[in-house]
Amino acid sequence: MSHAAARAKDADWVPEDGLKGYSIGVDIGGTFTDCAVVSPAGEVHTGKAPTTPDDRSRGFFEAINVVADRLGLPLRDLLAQTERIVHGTTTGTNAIVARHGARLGLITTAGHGDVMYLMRGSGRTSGLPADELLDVPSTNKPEPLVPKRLIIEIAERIDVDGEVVVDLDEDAVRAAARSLRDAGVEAVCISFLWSIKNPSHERRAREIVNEETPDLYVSCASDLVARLGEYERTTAGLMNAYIGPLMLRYVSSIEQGARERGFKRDVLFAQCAGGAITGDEARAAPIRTVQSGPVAGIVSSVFWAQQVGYRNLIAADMGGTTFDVSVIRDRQPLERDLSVFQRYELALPMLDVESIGAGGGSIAWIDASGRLNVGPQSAGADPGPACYGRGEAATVTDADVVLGVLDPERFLGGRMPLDPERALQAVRRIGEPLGLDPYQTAAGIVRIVDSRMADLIRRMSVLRGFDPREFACLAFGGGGPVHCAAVAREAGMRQMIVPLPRMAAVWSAFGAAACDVIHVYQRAELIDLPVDSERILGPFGALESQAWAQLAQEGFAGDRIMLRRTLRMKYAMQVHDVEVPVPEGLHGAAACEVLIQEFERMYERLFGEGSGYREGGVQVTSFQVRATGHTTKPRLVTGQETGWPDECERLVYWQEYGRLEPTRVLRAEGEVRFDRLEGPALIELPDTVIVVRPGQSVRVDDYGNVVVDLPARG
Amino acid sequence: MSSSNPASAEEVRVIRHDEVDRDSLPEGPWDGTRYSYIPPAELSIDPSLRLHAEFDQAIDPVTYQVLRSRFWNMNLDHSDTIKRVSGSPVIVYMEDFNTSLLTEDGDSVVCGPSIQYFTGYGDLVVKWTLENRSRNPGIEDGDIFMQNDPYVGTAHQIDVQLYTPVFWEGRLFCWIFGNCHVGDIGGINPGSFVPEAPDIYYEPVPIPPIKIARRDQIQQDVLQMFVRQSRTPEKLTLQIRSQVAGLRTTRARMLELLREYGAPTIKGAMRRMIHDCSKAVGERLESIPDGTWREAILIGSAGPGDRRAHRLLTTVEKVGDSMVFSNAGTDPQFFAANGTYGSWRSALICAAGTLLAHDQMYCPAGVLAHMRFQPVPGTLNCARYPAAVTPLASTIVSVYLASQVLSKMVSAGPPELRKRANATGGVALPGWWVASGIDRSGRFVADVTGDQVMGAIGAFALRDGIDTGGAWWWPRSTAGNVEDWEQAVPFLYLYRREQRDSGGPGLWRGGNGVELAVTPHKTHELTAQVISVDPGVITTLGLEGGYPGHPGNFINVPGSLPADRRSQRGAWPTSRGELELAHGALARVSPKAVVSLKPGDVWVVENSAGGGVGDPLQRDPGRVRSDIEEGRISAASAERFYGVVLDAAGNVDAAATADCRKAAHDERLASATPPSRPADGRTLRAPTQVSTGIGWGLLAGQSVWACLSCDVALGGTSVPYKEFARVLERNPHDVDPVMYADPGEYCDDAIVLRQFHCPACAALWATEVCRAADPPLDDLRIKPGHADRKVLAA
Repeated sequence: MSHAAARAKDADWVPEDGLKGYSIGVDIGGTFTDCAVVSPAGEVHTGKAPTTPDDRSRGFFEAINVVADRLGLPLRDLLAQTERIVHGTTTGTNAIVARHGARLGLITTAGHGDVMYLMRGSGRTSGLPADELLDVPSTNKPEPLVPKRLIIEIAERIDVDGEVVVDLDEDAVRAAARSLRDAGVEAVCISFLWSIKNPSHERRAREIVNEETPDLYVSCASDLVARLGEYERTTAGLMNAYIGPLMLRYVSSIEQGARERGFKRDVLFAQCAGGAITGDEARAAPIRTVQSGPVAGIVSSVFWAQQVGYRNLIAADMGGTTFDVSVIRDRQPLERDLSVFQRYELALPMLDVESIGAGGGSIAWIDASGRLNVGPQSAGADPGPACYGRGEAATVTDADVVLGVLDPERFLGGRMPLDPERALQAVRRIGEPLGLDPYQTAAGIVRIVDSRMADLIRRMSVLRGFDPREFACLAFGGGGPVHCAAVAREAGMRQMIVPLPRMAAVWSAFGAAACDVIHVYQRAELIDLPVDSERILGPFGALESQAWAQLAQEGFAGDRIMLRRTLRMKYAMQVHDVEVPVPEGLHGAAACEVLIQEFERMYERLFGEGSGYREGGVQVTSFQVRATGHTTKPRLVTGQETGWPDECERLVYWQEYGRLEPTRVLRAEGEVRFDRLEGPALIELPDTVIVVRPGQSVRVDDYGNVVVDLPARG
Repeated sequence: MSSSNPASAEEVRVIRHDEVDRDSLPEGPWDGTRYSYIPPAELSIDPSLRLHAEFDQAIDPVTYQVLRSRFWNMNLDHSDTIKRVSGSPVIVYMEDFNTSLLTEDGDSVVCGPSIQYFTGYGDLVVKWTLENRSRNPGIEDGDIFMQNDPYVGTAHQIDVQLYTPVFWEGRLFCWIFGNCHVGDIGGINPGSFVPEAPDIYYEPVPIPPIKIARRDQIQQDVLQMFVRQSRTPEKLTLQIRSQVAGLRTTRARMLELLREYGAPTIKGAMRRMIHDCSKAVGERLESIPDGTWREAILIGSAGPGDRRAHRLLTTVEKVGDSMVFSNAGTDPQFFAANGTYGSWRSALICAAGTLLAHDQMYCPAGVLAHMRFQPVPGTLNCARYPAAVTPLASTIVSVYLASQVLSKMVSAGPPELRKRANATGGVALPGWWVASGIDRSGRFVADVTGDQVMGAIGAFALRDGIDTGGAWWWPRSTAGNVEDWEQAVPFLYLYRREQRDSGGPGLWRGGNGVELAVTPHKTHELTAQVISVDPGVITTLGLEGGYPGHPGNFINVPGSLPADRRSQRGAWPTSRGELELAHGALARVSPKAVVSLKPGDVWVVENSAGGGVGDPLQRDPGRVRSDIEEGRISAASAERFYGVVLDAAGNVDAAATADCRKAAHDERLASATPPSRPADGRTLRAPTQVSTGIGWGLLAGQSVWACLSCDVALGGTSVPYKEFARVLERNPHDVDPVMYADPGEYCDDAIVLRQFHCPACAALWATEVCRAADPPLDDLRIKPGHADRKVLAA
């Protein structure tokens, strides 16, 4: 089959055939390792095991074992019948956050050794909340990833066109490798100016470093990123090297463990661009596994949206410390090339997730002007909210306990009883100077944190050019179902959905089980339009051959490969570039004009009518092929038989009423079914509570999703 | 809504105070024509315009916080909309704009985190508009006003303001305001900066507030009249459109909010924000002893052929919770190096907001409530029409002047305030350059490169500055990558790095700035136009004994690269050191130079760095060692300024360091002139700190100054402490020939670095950059009355 034919597949393509074997997704979080197993019939089975930080692979296989037990299969038999294992790991992310990666060296162009110190002029404030920037003496650049003495400048230079201006000083590279090794360096990043235009110097330097010091982990920035901008690219190269040695060991230990337990194929790894990569790629480019947990959650949501029939979603995940939001428009997740990670700007194709410090552990505090604030500081897991019994700080979770929304006896399915008296004391302490009783205070804490989360959703919509009122809110995490009905209401949305409650706790693992293999190939090149069509379409050929070869090598037949061509285009005198899909079969003299028109249409949609500056000209900035190897998907089944939940009543404080009110509480163990009912109401699930606010109503759809309908606002 | 407990809430009153003493205001009228506009406490508004002024006194604390966050985010949405629609690099990357939300009568409630010296213009402009437009042509729902008149209130004509009233129930409820650098709007130079302008008639036309939209319809005639003057009219139209889009988005958000919460609640939250901010600022001011602080900054090469140094001076007198500012002592207005009253005032609001209200979500009205001004017109920082203003020399220097004088003030306060005192930082003087030429695709390009905004943060009273940390007053700017600029301009960077030894030495070191060199590439010629005042006349001052930071430099090294460099290893200089090795000492170009660069020429640019704080001989030697290790300072500089010597293993050589420091102290005492007054000489126990090196206390009932290094009592606080100092005065170039250029090259006034030392222990208390003929700056006075109160309380 030709490449063109492969691309002819519909973007919403979903296979009808079932799986031939089991598909397993495993997601390792800070506390639990989650596992989702999809059977050949499309049923999903889930399990959890404690995360084992000393050797995460133990928890990995234990979680699979839990599901195997539930299926009544020995682990070895399950793995023998398994077609695919996809693993979402935070190992790399954690190493960067906790700063326990490899001792790094950097080899870079002479004259430009300070690239990671200059941080192109934004290092002091990048990644800080805007309302903290005036506190100037508290600002700083982040801790350097590599000290200046381990940065070696090499005489070489390539220019904007990729032409060599100064030859690579090979002897200097050789000496650099030795001196870095002697300094105890474990991993080296090689990043030269304009290596995206001509990688020959980086590659030759890597050969030399490999010859001289074969035991050093080496990453070349241009292998990871094809984007203009040496700072963001070097960040990617350095972070990659930083976690390289660790991930080398980790990936191999998972692979080996799987082999020993009877799994015959390759374990895949979830990646931040929203799919999976092979173990080989995870070893060469471990940076791609960063943020793969939250991204697997988005993949799950996209898959869910395609199956259930939603087009536009805002996925909102509220955990203990952060509130993460991502946007799914027309069943496609938004992507980004650039993000701020640990206060460094990082060029890496990934799905777009925005976060603020708002979660169950967010601390309520009174500022110097006597005002009540919530977050961004969090009590974390230890000491945690006051009701955990160790700390004193009043948090959002404490407020939820005081309000009666959370049942202290049934938190995390009763695994962790809470101390309501401590919660009450902590909340009371906060409210006293404001003249508020504990209920008013708790309701205030919740209102403030909810409105901050709604603010984030509104703010995301402005820069990305969409209207939240046209989106449904998909709520996850321990706190999402508790708070999102209020958040969505405030952001003007009309629906809040808790998808498949039985899977809520393993949503990322499910996403891993259901994801495709995805590779993104990029080439940066600045071209002023118009040009003839060969100039604009030609570069895709090489990228597609690369994609085709890689996916074929990974075992995908031609009819399972989908290639999507996109161009990044911009107005010459403006800075926003827009990803423009190249229509199927586009060729001939009109190609350029078609693309310019498509670009202008998309630009106006994103940035508003009349926002383009055509007189300055239109440019292509880069070529991209997103290559997907389609895996077989589970099918969501409708109309499953489930039992009716238990029902009881308890007093809950509702801010809408300003008082305690006897409230219906439904209790379910996972699958849930009930007739439509009016809020206020609580639906207690093993790991969360769905809060239906007064004036809202709730129902369960055919798939088992819990849907809260929010009335239109005033 | 939950019920509130209003009993605990303080009463919120609308703050109405006159920012000037009308009776003693010189000349005038101060209405924005010949003299800048100064709003009165009670605005004169035509009665046909009805204001929606009532507000809820007792807004509940939770709703208040929800609304505060909404205002903040709504204002960020305004900024984002401008960035989104404009797409201009100056707006999107450098964030050369700001947005704000104001009450019906023009009090600024919340500003954005973009450029901060814009935060004191919105209120001037809205109040002017209320006073001058409410009758004719009237202010109505759906109007959008535009203005760029510096004498009403903007930094220069290129910063164009668009703003709209929000009406509710037929009455004016609030204003939404945006202020953007829009690029070329005409005038004799492309880009609209006119450093050679003898008056404003050479510059782009200043336009006082005019309606650009009525009933939500853009007035095409007005828009066309404006954009007709620009060299890039389509781009300017787009800029205006982005601002219109921002105003509309924000107005829609405000109307949603009004429907949801009602007008009295929202106005109640606005008034309480101002109240809270004012209260916080007032309490902080009360914690500082009463006194007077002063700072002066010189600028050289202020106009074509100019060889004089011109002084800008700002004094603050603090009594209780109020500050009175004066610019008396500032030199007369000169060519285009001027700023208006609005710029001087806005610079002070910006610095006071940062130092006294960092936690109040950028609420200028609450800061302004404690400020009064005594402007002297016809001066560099309070120019009289038709003085030209576009190059921003005095405007930006005023920002640093404001920060310096207020840093001295907060330095006399408790540690929580004192730690905010911050010496001058990078982007300190208008030291920009424009690169122009024909690029490899035959297109003409002219760009101000962004390297300058790498900046540097000066040292603080209790910590070091931040190397290439940007500017404190421009927190979200981005300088761009080497690759970004090489794509835009036909040149190659030979190097771009943090400049070692550029931060001002001190007990706390100023942040290092950036240095770079470029060479024309794939073009026949590249023109470098310098837009600068003279770096030889240093503007990057240190604080309380700290030395100034490197003030910047532009250097041309012609023909320094061989034609074929590929094969010639080492022919590619990658540092200033290598250039000097090959070409000897490098000579800087004139601050007004226009240089034609040919292939093989090297253009060296050094941007200003941060000033230091305190005496460098008192710096912890361990910090000096780690500065050397990390390449932030050289061993030579460690010895010269810090008196720190390392041994062969790179550790501090304690004995050699002690010797070196002793020699430095002896040298200070030997070469400095004796004090004009003898020191008291007794020991003052536990003096109260008022700056890094100076304290005061009571000795036998008399209030006296003391040296904090040796606790020696100096003499009565009724005279300046500097009268007790030994004074060392040198050409700064002799202090460090690389860091400080020779001012004599482009300035006929003798410029000196003047140091004030303790006569007993030689500790360095203060540094000044001044004309040799200037008397010592009387920069710190404490009111003994306040002092007594504090001592008694203690």
